[in-house]
Parts: sequence; structure tokens; C-alpha cells
Amino acid sequence: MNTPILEVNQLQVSFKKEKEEITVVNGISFVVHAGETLGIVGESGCGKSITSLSIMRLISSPGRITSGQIVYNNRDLTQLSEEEMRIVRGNEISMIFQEPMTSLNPVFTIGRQIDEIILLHTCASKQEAKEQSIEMLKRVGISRAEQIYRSYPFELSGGMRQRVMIAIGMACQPKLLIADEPTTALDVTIQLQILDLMKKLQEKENTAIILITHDLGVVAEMCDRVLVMYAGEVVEEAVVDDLFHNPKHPYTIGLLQSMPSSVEKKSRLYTIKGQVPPAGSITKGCRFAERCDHVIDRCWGEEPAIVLVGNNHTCRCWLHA
Amino acid sequence: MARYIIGRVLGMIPILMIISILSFLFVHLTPGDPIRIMYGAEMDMATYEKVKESLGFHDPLYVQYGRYLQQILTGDFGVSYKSKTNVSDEIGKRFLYTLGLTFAAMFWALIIGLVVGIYSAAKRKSIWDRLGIISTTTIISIPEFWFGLILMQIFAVQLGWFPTSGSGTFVHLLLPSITLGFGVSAIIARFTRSSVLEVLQEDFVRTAKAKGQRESVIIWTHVLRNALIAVITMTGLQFGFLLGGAVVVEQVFAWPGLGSYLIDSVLARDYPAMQALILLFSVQFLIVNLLVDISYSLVNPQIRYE
Repeated sequence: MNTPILEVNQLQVSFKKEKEEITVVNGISFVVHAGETLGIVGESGCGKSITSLSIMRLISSPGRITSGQIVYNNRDLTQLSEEEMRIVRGNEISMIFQEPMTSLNPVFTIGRQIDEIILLHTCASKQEAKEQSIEMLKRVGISRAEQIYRSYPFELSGGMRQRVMIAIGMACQPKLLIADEPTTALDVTIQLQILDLMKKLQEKENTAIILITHDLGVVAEMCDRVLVMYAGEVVEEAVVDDLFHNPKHPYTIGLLQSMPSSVEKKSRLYTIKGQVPPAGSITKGCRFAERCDHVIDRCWGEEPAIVLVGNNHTCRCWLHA
Repeated sequence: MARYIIGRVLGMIPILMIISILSFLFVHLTPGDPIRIMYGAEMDMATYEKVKESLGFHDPLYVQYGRYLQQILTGDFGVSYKSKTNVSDEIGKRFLYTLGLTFAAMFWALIIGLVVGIYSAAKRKSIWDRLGIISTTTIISIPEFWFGLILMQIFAVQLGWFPTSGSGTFVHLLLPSITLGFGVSAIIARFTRSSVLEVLQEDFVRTAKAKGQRESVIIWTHVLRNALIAVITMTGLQFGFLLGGAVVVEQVFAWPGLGSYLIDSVLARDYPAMQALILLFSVQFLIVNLLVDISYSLVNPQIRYE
């Protein structure tokens, strides 16, 4: 359980816009251990999706990884050639996406799209790939797997398609599965089924999961540890219980307060005032200062460093420095 | 599917009725007298009236149309005023030439157009992409007769590789089909490029990359299949145009197809031939359109015709 399989060190990702480099992910570091689920939470535009795409090296131009390491299995993924990276993708690290409706190719059968990944990374024959695909479909809880194998994506509901995406993602028994908002586009009842399915498969295969979400309910349900991101940086990292019961960073506290509770009925939900600053707009001080309820003079001038505030609990805030 | 096709074919009947009326009016109302053109200006009035009577020009137009309609419904397209031969025989002979030229031209057009289009899109903003855009723009702007003459000058006159004009063997087909196909290839290339670029933005392309699939395989399978719909539409349209006879190119290379027949019959005010050709071109267009619609369902399983 405690062997690290992925180590991200000081990752920095920039986008080039009219000769200007805008940094959208700024010096992120974290570790993922075998078999655990790491949640990455934050508002839209905080860089969580970009972080996950960088691990897969799927950032498309004009974006690029400008510095830092992504160490997987003693190899720095940022240094691999495209051809070496192809062998990692889908095989050792795979990814499922937010939009099950558009993430499958509309003109190919479900079967062909699962076969594709098996044929790419194993020596299976077409017939063996088909058998494995149907087996995968059964394992993600699809009854009538043979029939679905021959179906086209438009014949399936969103929940079914996300199951198919998970089948594709898990087909080659990856060590790490990156799930980028896997349930956001689904109905609430289906969300729970999909999360349960991921959990079940994870226990069986001992797969590590990076779960990217903005839904703290999903985090509580699924994750072992959580990384809170804000404006391209990590602001707090803790074990999930710690984070929910003892949040340190004002941003995390704000996020938790703005969660609707089923127990108490407040007349109005808490909101964090203001908006996420556009990438590259803050060059000095704490990035959250503008929206923070506890802002002090120091916040405007210097950016706080990440410090240890408890057992396995780190936070980037002057209040705790 | 069969029901859909039968429905579409039945739907063509009223369209063809309207076209037959329009083509009849268009032909009969164009200035120019076929009898004068046939016999020259010196014929005497008595003979003129006799010929006019025999051709039925004295009757009101609607009576003439009725007769014409009766004729074509029995499959008789009349006798050419000019050559005194059966119009359907002449069209039958020339149709094969046009069909051959069209297929050969589309063959070049598709090969060059698809390869250039896909390659430009795959390497967008590279020097090859820019070169592709510049050359396709240039080719589209070049008039066919000029391009044909240049090809003829270089490959037939100077190098002597191909015959300058005429028909009969496969080598005769090369220069005119390349002339025709080149212009169409540029149109197809541009269409393919923009269509592929659009599909490349789709989420499923990212999924395919995340599976570890090769970029080239992604483009030739995942992307191309989705991009084909727009390309098929365009190709069908061009195919229809070419089937209507490549008037200019057939003239330049003395190719005995429908295009040169159309020119001849218009110049001679050869009513039966003109009407038959217009009707034929319309039928061809309708059939090509039907084939295009059917091929959509082959490319995209979501499109099914009931």
C-alpha cells in the first residue's frame, strides 16, 4: 500500500499566448501510492485537468510542460519519447474523461473500441481480444455484454457509456487510473453506481486512482488523501478525514462551507466571494488573498510556502506558517 | 433501406416532370431558328413552311409539349435535326465516354485530394500545410482550358508521351482526366483538411490518444471515418457536375463525350438533343444525390434510413 508509484515534482505547465508564456500549473508536487485514491479538488480553471493531462503527456500545443518531473516506475515521463510514452498510455496509466457522450467514437462499435486498446498493448489475437472485451464489459456491470459489444455508442445511455470508458481504461490492468470528473455529466443515481464500480475494480486490481473532481461529496465517498488546488497551485494536502474535520487553508474551509448539507437546512449556502483569478494575473503574494476572509498584510507581499501543519497534513497559508 | 430507396425514386417523378416542362420551355423560347440554321438563309418560304409543318412548330407550345411528353414516356427521344440520327443512340455512345472521363477524373481527384487534405490537417501550420493551401488555392483559380493546353504542350507536343487529342485508348484518357481531376482534387483537399481539423478537436480523439494509439492510425481510422461525411457530399456534387459533361475540357481534347454534344446541339438549336441532354443531366444529379445519401449510412451508423 505504501510504495509510491507516481511522483510529481515541481510540475510546471505553460500555455503560449501571443508570445507570452502563461503558467497554468505552477510547481505542483505530489505522490500517489499503489492502490490508493488521491483526490484533486478545486474550482474550474484551477489546473486540475491540465495536471492530469500532463501525466499522460496529452497537453496539446500551445501548452507544454516547462519544468518538473513526473516519475513513474523510476522513469521520468517528461523525458520519454512519444513512442515510449505510447506504451505507457492506456497500458500502465489510463484515463477516463468527463464527457462519456463524446469520448467514444460515434462510428465504431463499442467492441472495436475496447479491442483497440487490448490489441495495442497485448499480443492477443482478434478473437482473444473480443473475448477479453466481452469479459471487461461484464466486469463493469453490463449485462447482455455480447450485444453491447456489437452496439454503437449512440445506442447507449450516458451511464452505460461511462461504464464502457471504464472498461477501456481498465482493460490492460493499469497501475494508475486517472479519472477526470468521471461522474460530473451523469445523473446522481448513476454517479453512485459508477463510483461503486470504480471502487470495486480498484480493490480487485490494486489500482491507484487519481480522482479529479469539484464535488467534495465524491471525495468523501472515494478518496484516501486529497489535494486542494487553487489557481495552479496546491494549497492544502491531507488525509481525507483530516481535511473534512480539520481544514486549515481558508480556501478549503470555504469549499467545505459551500457544500450543501443534508442535516442542517440553512437558508442560504455559503459562497466564496469573487472568482478564480485568470491564469498568470497574480505575480505577487498569496493567490487567494483577494478572496480570503482572513487576509493579513503579509499575504499581499509574499507568497507563503507549503508547510507541515499536522500529521501528513500540509498547507500553504501565512496563518499556519 | 429498400423502402427508403423506392420512396426516393418515386419522389423523382414529379421533379422530372417539372424539369421536362422547364427544359422544353427553355429550349423552345431561346432565340434562334433551327430550320434556318439547318437549311441556311436562302431557302424559299414554301419549303420553310413545309419543314415547319412537318416538325410540328405550327401547333401551340402546350400541344407540342404534350406530344414531346408522350414521346419520351415511350422512351423515344426523337431524331436529331442536325445529324438525322436517333438522339438516344448518340447519347448512349457518348455517355460511355463521359462516364469514363468522369471516373478517371474522380480517381485522380480523390487520391490527390484526400492525401493532401489529410496530410495538411495532420501537419497543420507546418510548411507542408502552407504549401498545400497555396497550391490548392492556385489550382482552383487556374482555368481548365489553360491548364489543359499547358499539359498538352508539355506532355504531348514537347515530350510526345501522350496523344494531343482524340479518344479510343487508355492513354487518350490520361491528359483530359488529369486536367479535370486536378481542379476537383483541390476542392476535395480543402474540404478534407477543414473537415479533418474539425474532427481532430473531438473528445474521442483524446480518448484514442489516451489508449496509446499512434497519431497516424488515429487520423486514418478514427478521424477520417468521421470526416468523410462532408467529403462525400462534396465529392458527389463534383461527380454530378462532371457527369454533366466537361464542356471545356472535351472541346480542348476533342473528347467525344456529352459536353461536346451539348455544345453542338445548342449551336444548331437541335431541340430534341438539347431536351434529352438536360433531362439526362437532371436524372444523373438525382441519382448521384441518392447515392450520396445512401453512402452516409455506410459511413455513420447513426444515420439509418427507414
